[in-house]
Amino acid sequence: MKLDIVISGVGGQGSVLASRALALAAMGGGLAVRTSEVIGMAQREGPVTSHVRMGDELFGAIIPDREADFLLGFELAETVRALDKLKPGGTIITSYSTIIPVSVQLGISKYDPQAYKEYLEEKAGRIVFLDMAEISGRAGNPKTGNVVMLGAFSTVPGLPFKPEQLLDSVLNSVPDKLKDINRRAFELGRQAMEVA
Amino acid sequence: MSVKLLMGNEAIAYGAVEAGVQVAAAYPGTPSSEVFATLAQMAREKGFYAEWSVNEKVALEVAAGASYAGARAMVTMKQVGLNVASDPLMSLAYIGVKGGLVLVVADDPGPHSSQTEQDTRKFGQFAKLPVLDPATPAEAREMAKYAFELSEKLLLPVILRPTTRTCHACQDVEVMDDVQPPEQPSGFEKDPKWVILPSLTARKHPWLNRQQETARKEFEEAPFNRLILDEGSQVGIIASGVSYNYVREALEMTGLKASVLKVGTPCPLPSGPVLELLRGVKNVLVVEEQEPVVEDQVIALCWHNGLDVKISGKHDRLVPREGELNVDRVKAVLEKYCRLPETALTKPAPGPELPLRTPILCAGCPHRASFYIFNQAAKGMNAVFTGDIGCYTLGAIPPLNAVDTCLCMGASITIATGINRVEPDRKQVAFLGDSTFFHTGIPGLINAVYNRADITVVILDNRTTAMTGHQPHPGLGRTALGPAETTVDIARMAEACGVQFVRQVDPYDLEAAGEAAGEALRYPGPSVVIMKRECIALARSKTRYAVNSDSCVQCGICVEELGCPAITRPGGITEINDNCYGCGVCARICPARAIEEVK
Repeated sequence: MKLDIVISGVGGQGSVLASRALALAAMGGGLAVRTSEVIGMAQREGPVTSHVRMGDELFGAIIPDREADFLLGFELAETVRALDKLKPGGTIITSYSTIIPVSVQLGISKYDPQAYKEYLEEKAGRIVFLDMAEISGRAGNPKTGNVVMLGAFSTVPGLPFKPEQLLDSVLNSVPDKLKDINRRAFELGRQAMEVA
Repeated sequence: MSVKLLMGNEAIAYGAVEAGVQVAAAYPGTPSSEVFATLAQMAREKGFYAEWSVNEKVALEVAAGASYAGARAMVTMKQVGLNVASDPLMSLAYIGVKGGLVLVVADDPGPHSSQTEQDTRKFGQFAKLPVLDPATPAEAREMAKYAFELSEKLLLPVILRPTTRTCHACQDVEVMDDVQPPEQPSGFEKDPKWVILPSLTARKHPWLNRQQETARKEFEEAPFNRLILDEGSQVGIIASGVSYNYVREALEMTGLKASVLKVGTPCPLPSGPVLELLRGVKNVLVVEEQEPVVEDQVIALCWHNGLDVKISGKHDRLVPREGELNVDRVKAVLEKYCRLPETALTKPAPGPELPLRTPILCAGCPHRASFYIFNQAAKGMNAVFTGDIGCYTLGAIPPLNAVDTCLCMGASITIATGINRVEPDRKQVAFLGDSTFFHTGIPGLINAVYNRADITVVILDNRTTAMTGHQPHPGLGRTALGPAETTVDIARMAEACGVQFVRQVDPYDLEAAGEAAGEALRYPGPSVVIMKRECIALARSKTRYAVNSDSCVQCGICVEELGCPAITRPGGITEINDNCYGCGVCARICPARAIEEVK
C-alpha cells in the first residue's frame, strides 16, 4: 500500500495543517508517513506545495514527478502549477477560487481562470471543482478552506483511514474554541462532494 | 516509547532532550529555527536552560562555556550562521570540550531560503570536526543522541548537519516517554588548557589531527552507515544523507540492481564499509548533494588501496553540484550511468501561462510603508538603498524596488558606508530590521560614526524576528523562556553608538515619518531613523478599508505605489479585499480620498 498526495496553494492557506492532519490519520491506520514542504521566505503570499506520502515502506519525503495519486488544490492557478506531480489518470480536487497576485495587478503577468479550468479538465483523470471560499464562508470562517478540502477528500473511496480519523486529527490540531467551526467546514466539504 | 509525527527539526530537539541537554542556544535561520523553538518549549518542564542569543557566534560561545563547565550543550543555526560562528568554532576544535557539545547546522541546497548553497560538511573538514548527515527525521533524532556521546568521547564539538528535506520533512518518529533529568554538571575547573596561546595550539594541533583518525574508527561501527549488497551486481552506489532515499526509490522505479552503501557519517568517512563495497564491484557512483565530500574521500581510499574501481559522481559531471537532488534527478543520473534509455517523460506541451507569484510583504506590513516613505523622501536623489536579511529583503520586488543591495546579515550599513567613500555626494540609505541590528548591525553603525560616513540608517523595528517565525530579541523584554528583566532600547543604543541624529517614528504615520526621513537625508553625517510598528502577524487587526467607488478615479496610484496584496483591480475597478489589515496607508496616499475606513 502506498499513497502520494500533493497539496498546492498560497502561503497562509493552511496547507501545512492539512498535510499534518493527513499524515496523522494515516499513522492512526498503522502506516508509515512522510510530509514535506518548504517553510520560510516562500510562505509570504508565495506558492506553497506540500507532499504527503503514506505506505508500508517509504524512503524520501518528496513525491517524484507524475507519481501523485491525488492533487488537492487550494488555489486555481497553483493547482495548474502543481499538475506535473499528478500521475496520468490521477484525481484532482481543487478550489476554483482565486488569489490574484500583485504581479497581475501591476500588469507584469496574467491570470486566466477560464484557461486554467479548461486545462485541468483536459489533463486530469478525474476532477472536482469546489468553491472553497464560499463553503468556508458558510462554515463561518474563510480560514477553514483547508479543512473544507480535507472533508471533500475524505469522501474518496479506498483511503487507508476513515473520514472520522481524518476529522479527529484536524480537531486535535486546532484550539478548542475553533473545533466546532472546523467540524462544520469538514462536513460541508463532504457534502459538496456529494453534489459535485 | 511512543510514536509521534515530528518534523526533522523537532526530532533533533527530542533527541537532545533524551540525551540530557543542559544548555541550548541559537540564532534563528531557515531551515534550522524549529530545533531550538522546540527545545525552548520543553526547557522549563525538563529543567534545562535555553536562550535565543543575539547571533550565532554568541550562541556558540555560550554553548562552549557551558560545555567547559561540564554541561551537555546544543547550539543551532543555519549554514550561513556558521560563517558568523566560524571564529569560535575554528579555535574550539583545538581547545576541545568537556560536556558534549553539538552544533546543529542546517544546510539549504536549492537554495530555498538562503544566500548560499554552502556545504557544512566541507566546513567540518576545514575545522577538523566530525559531521553527521541524517537521511530522515527519525535518524536525525538518533544522531542527536549519538552526537553528544561522540563529542564527549572525542572531546570535540560534533556537527549534526541536516538539510531542508530532513529539517522540514515530517515522519512517524519513536520517542522516549520518560526522560530522566540530567545530572548536575561538574563545573568549570581552572586549567591552562582552556587558554589558547600559540604554544598550546602547537601542542594541540597534532592531537586534533589524531582525533580525525579516532573519529574515523568510531564511525566504522556507527549504526548510520549501512551496506546493502546486491550479489552479482558489478555496480555500487554510495549515497550520503537524504540522497540515500532518492537512490533507493530511483532504483525501485527503474528496476536497476546495485549494491548500496548508505553513509550517515561523511566526515571523516569510515574506510571499512567503503572498502568492502569497492572490493566487490568494478564501478561506483557517489550520490550526494552539494560538494563531492564523500566522493573525494572514496577516490582517496581507492587510490591508497590500489583498487581498480572507476569512481563516478560530480567530477565526471554525472551528479549535479548545484541545487537540490530529488528522485527525478537521481533517476536520470542512474539511467545515464547505467546507459539505460532515459525515461524522463518528455515535458508536456506548455499549459496556459501562469501568473508570477513571488513571496511579497504581507497586506499591512509596516515595512511597505517605510519603503514608500523613503521612496518619496529620496525622490530625484538617485539614492542607493542598501538592504539586509529579513522579510524586508522583499522590498526589492516591484513596485517598491527599494532594495539595491543585499549581501549578508548586518551588511546594509557597512555596504552603504563603502559606497559613500566612493560617492560621497550621493545619498546612501541602509535598511535593516531590529533583530538584524542586534545581530551584526551595531559594529557597522559604530564604524559609520567613528569614521564619519554620511549615510542614513533605517531600522525597521517590527518588534520581532519575523521572517524566521517571530523569535524574540533583546529589544522586546522577552527571552526564549519568558519575560526578560531588561530591554535594550534601540534609539538609546544608536545614541550610545555616537549617532547625533536619531528619530523614532511610526511608519503608518506617513506625515511625521516622511518628515523624519527628509530630515535624516538632509543631515550631514550618520543619521538613524527607527520605524517602529509591530509586525501585522502579531498585532490583531482593528479595522479595515474599502474603496468608495463613487469617488475613486481609477488612477491606480494605490496599486502601483504600494503593491499591497489586499488591493486588486478586477476588470479595472479597484477593490480592497478581505485580507486588508487596516493599516490605512493606501487611504493616506489616495489623491481622490476615495479609500475609507469601514465603520
